[in-house]
Amino acid sequence: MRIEVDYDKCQSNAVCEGLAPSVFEVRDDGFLYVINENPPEDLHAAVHAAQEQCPTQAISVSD
Amino acid sequence: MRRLVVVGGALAGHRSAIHARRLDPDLDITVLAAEDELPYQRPPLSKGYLLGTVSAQRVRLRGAGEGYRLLTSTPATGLDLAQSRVLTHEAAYQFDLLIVATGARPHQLEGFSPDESVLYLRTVGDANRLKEALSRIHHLTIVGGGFIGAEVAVSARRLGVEVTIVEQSAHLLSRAVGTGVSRLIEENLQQLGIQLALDSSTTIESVDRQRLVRDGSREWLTDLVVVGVGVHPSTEWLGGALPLRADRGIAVNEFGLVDGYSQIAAAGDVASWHHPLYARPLRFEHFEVAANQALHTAEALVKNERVAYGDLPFGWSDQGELLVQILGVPSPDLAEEEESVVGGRMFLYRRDDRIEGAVLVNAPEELMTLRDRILSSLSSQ
Repeated sequence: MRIEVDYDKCQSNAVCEGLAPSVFEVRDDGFLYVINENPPEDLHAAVHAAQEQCPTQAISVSD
Repeated sequence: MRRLVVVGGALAGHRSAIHARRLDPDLDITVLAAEDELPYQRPPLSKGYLLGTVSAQRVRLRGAGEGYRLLTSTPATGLDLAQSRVLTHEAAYQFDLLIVATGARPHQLEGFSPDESVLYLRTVGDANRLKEALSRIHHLTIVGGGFIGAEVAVSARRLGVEVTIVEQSAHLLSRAVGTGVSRLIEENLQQLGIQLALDSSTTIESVDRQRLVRDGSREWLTDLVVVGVGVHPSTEWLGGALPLRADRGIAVNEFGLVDGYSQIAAAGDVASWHHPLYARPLRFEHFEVAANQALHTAEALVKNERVAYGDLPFGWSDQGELLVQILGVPSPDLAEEEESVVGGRMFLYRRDDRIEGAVLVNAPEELMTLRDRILSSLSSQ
């Protein structure tokens, strides 16, 4: 699984962090960081949920 | 060396320049920006930026001013097609390729000239003035019940300011969505303690340092008036040099090329884009549409590899506890029907059998499925 974030579109709503906190993290500087770009299989469902529910549709995932 | 000039230093301008650089490392790229700012995201300006939860650093677009020559405080004043030049106050910029991304500017309402107590919100400079004012004022009046007005109202209320929204139509957002969605938005604002004056014809006059707003039989004193009555494409500088459509946007085809030109493109709020899914020209003021169209214009111009922009347009509005997501074209003149979804609300807008648009309220988990459904509905006939 490969995660890509379009940072122009990202508004740091942190919805992704709520759904997959071991993959996405919005830090104190206000920016989103992908802290695990190759998450293990048991996290794939959570990452897909993050992709689907991102309010600004900034996340893309390829398997 | 080929020269690309991009007019406009906001999202569409910045992204088309960045993408053009990716496609051609040798291209000479100049971006002419009207504001004295590095390219930034506008959506937070009516929300987190006012609340102080989103910093000035945070709104800046990544790679702003990198990989291209950025000239700030350099608004274009004319387009000389005969000599392929963009004119500014100081100089003329020769181009082989041109991208117009000058965005839109707020409609100015008669009798509401911008001054110390009347403000229009578009730029980070406007947002700075509004943010400063919200820290000291008691009452804010918002003229115009659109998305920006609703978002500013929620932000101001959260900062403890009393807010009244004045709208001449019977419902908020009556030009953008159907009444079902309008009602949800109105209820949310009222629950937050925001006063709504609908069906309103408003006058305003100065009283000492405040403004007296009269709305029929009601009148109230307010400290600041924010006017948000829509925007129009920034095309005045072109002086008629490029073709415009009835929606006042620059006429572009499905690839982003301006009608009649192979070396001139336009993207974002300024562009009336022929949309293949709808088989008609459409102009949007969505952040995401500008972001995606910018990539298509760069491809069409620089790589000469034309890919039609056929995305389903998407926009959103954050209003406190309410997340409103807009797909396609939910025209208020279409029949609005609600379908039940778990957790939130979903409204569909049909023309004949085709779903042309939809609005989700607090149902982000429905977005992807709904998008596929609308796409298949639009392409089925």
